[in-house]
Amino acid sequence: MPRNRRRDITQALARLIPKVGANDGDPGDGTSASSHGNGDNTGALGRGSRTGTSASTGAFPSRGVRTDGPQSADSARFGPIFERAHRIHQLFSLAQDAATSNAALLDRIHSMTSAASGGGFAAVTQSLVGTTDRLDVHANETVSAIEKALEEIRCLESSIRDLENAFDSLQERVSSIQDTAVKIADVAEMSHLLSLNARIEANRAGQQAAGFKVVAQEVGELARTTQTLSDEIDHEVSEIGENLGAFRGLFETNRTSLEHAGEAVSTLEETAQGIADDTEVLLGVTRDVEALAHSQVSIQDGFDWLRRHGEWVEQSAAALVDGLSGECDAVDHALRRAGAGQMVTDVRRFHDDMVRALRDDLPDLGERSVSAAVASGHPPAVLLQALAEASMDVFLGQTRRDEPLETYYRNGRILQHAVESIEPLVPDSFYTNAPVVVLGNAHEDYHDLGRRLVATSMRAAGFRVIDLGLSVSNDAFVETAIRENAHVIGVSSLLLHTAKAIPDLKQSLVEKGRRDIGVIAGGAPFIVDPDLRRRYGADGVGRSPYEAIRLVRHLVSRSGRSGVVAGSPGVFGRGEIGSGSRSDIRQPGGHGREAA
Amino acid sequence: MNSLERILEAVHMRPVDPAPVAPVLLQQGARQLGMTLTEYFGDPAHAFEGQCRVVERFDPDAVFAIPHVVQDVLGWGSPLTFHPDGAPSVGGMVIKRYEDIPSLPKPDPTAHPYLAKTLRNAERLAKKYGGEKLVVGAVIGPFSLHSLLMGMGKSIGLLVEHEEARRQFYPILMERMMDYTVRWAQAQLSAGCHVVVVAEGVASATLLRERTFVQDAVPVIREFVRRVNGLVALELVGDASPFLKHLADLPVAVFLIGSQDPPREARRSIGQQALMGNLNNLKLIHWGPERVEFEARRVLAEAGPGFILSNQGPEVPFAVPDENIDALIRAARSRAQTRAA
Repeated sequence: MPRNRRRDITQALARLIPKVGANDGDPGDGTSASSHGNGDNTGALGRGSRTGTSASTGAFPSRGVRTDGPQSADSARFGPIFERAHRIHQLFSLAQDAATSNAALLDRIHSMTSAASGGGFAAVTQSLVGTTDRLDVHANETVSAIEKALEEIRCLESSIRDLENAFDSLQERVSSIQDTAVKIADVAEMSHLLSLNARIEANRAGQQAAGFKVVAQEVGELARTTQTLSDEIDHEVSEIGENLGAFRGLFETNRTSLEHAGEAVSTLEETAQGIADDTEVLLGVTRDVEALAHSQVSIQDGFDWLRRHGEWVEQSAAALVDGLSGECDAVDHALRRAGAGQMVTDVRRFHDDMVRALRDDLPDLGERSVSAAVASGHPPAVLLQALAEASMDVFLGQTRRDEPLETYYRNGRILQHAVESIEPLVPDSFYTNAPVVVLGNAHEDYHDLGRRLVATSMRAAGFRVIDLGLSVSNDAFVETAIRENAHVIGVSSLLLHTAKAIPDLKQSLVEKGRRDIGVIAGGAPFIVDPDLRRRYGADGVGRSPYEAIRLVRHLVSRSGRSGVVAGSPGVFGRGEIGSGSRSDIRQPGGHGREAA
Repeated sequence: MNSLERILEAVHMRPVDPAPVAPVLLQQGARQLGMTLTEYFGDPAHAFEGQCRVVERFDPDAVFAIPHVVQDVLGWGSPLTFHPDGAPSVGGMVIKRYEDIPSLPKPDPTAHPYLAKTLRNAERLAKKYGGEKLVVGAVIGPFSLHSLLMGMGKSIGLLVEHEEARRQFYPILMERMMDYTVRWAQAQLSAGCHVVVVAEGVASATLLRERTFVQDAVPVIREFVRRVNGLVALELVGDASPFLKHLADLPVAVFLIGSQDPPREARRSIGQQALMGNLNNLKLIHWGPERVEFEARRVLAEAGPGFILSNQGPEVPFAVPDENIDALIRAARSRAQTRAA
């Protein structure tokens, strides 16, 4: 790309330079450059680190400053060459921009890669999966053991019940024996009485009843023996009864204990079931976590892929920057050969001084540089371009450091002075194809500092800015944007409740058939919650003036509307010749109230 | 251990179980009372009843005596513009030119009826919750208040651009701001607030370069803390972490941090001092309760002891669902502060 591009540019310049040289008698051999400066051929429009050194008088008379006055001929003479030169420098600047952003992206990818792989995610997940599996096994074993225990308790209950039944039966039998013993005792008593009666009758009968008397005595003896046995049986049975009574108490105790054990095991069963259920849930969660871990690994792979491609882009961007740097040198050299050497040197110096003024916060240097540049009589459009490049060079570095508002304020006052000094000198025709941005604070928002800084920076970047001021209604935004054929509406809002107007603003544009007009937002709510951009349907958010400018460029390019296609010279970009900026500071729809 | 004791333990950097939680629920009282914010803020006395309802509904560890932070401009004669769905905003600038500064009055904040009602809120809240919950007051800091009286552009311009105007008027301006803010803070403490938050809306890395902060903001903040007799909590609104190291020795009860200030990073700057923060107050609107609880647990784990869970300033927006506030509080209630992760 650089090689071919360089050839194209060289050919284009070759076509232009002889014409220029022929017109003003410049020898076209490059020697004229030394008569206008020190021969520095390091970039007419500045590339940051290089410094112009020429202090000699300029190629253009330092009298009138309007480009449609005495300098018109110079502008016409060098304009086409400058258009090419600006384009080259613009491409160089964009390539630098891309390389810088890519470097930032790579830094972030490196840190994200470390963060994504830093936690031992796979090991944690594996441990979680293993633990959950074991928990599942333990829970199931516990439930199973409890079920067995419950079964055993139920068996025990049944056995105790059978035992109680047998015990009741035994008690009944003991009672029966006791009843029998009583009957035997009654029989013994009766036998004893019978024996007494028999002996009395035997005595009365005398000798003839001697045998009968013996029988009576034996019966009496038998009655006594029976009584004794009956007493013993009664005694034994009573003792058995007492023992059985004690057993009855033990049975009661056992039954109560068994009931309590049953209840405890039932509770345990419910708990174990809960654990088992939760373990089931945990298993599901673990599977989700594992899936997340798989995604994490995919993300890591994605980061590796991004890093690999980022490194390729880095290499390509470095080659592109290097190549375009050479092209810049070539066109600058060609410009010198064409007789524009002094202008090249002066404009370079103006660029470098403005970079220094902005970067080191030197407003006095900025004012002196602007005065000198304007007095030099060089085409104001060229100066505006140099200013745009200077501001973008500085903004780019600042954005990478997330500078505070104070920095943009300090830049803003230097840029404002420069823009207000140069802008009125540029002819109206210069602004024909400039991107148009309508800016304003959201309705009922009175915080103007951020909006003013963005407006100034956009003017310095070559945009046509229509600043509607504070508290702008959506109707005023839409009406102005359509009337002015704006590319973008920028809404500034410090308060969340005022930022809510953006969705309606987008909708109004759609209803008016102007979906092509982009809406960008800026202000604290969008910085605190970047997702608000998507939620409110804004086409982008600028955290800084530089981001806002880059965003507008992107939206204008994407819209495909007039003169915004990258590569068409003299149309658009970093203050490229042919675009320029013409800003209208007015408040047709704005609120008259003072700013907060 | 009650709410107040929990917070005091955290301020002393001791582990607390559960962790203290004090979301800045200035607007939720309106919903509990069935009012729009315009009605609610129209009379600051509503804030007392609103805080009582907030305690009943959410039971946070702190109550707030102020209805909103913008009220401080009232003492200077600035009007307020009320909004149905957001905090009031300043309705006009009382300093229109730098030349107006020498003729600025020395207003007594307690003499303004609106601010006097705020003090009455503080008294009533202290009486009702004084031994149980932290009663919090708040002032806009002396370094930042003038940005609401003349606009941010003029304020920064005076600070960094217009040297002659700065030489002539800045000392006078600072003297007026200091006098007013110290009196206002002292009045709130005297009315019963345990602590007063001083919110420096301009003094952070979001707005200032470090050199400007050290040279201009730090002396003012130190002087304010020195003059106020009572507990002060400091909030550098915006990106605070890069600058906290310049205030590590400041005798304040707690540093408030925002969502862009990771507690670990802030801790590195200030050492063993308590922190409060820092859930993103705008994301609280759109996160679901699960995400809120997750983020709250994450920040609690990172911060460890000496941390009060809250949102970043200035308040929990009206649009944040109650369920999300419940989730925030639940996260703290279910977590002990042991040590930082």
